[in-house]
Amino acid sequence: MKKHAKRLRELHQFNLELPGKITDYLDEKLVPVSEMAEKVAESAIVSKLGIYQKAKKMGEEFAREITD
Amino acid sequence: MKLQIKTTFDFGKLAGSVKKMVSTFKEQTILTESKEMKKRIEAGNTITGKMKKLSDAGVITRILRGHSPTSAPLNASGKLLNSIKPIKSGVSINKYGLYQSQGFTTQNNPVIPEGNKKAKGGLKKRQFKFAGKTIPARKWIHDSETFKYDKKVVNAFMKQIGKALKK
Repeated sequence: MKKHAKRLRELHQFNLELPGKITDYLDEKLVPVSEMAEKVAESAIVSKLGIYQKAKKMGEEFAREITD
Repeated sequence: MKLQIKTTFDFGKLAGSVKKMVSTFKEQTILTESKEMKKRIEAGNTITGKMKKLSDAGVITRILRGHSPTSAPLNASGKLLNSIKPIKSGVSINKYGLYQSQGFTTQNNPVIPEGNKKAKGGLKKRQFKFAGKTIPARKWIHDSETFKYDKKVVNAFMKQIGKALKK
């Protein structure tokens, strides 16, 4: 009896490996809109970054000039 | 003379709030885009114009299945339309919709209607020789190359950035 129980337990121990992504096995697919939006937001910020940096530098220079 | 300098902006404040603003922007985009995707399927539109019409065989398969032969190309049963759901990381759709957006080659010669279903429209169940046929892309899903925003949306986002910069 113990022998059978042991064999049964061994039978339940198996590893299942599925190659690829988990989404390949599902009926649903993801359209990565979140990534797309992030890209747009980032490029919008980056496009204005130069102006912000210039403004920051100008402010620092102005403060230095009047305090020196 | 004592000089006092006041600034009306705070880059530290902006840095702290950018992450949240981008996250809100993403959430709103997912919602808006999922609605747009539904509209495209209902109207039979691609991201640039109208979808290619159904082929004659496509019309017959619809009649055999009891679906409307006149509804938009990817909207026969409503299954794809109803599968479009906004989720945290994007928009979830039935994978059939993705294949249609990219175009594909049919692999089988299906018997329609499938299984034990009875043929509708007074027609007889039949096998279609579809294997090897190329189904042209009906590009109704944006990718990162085609996904662009209306200037107004980006400007509104940048206005928020400007607000966050102010003290």
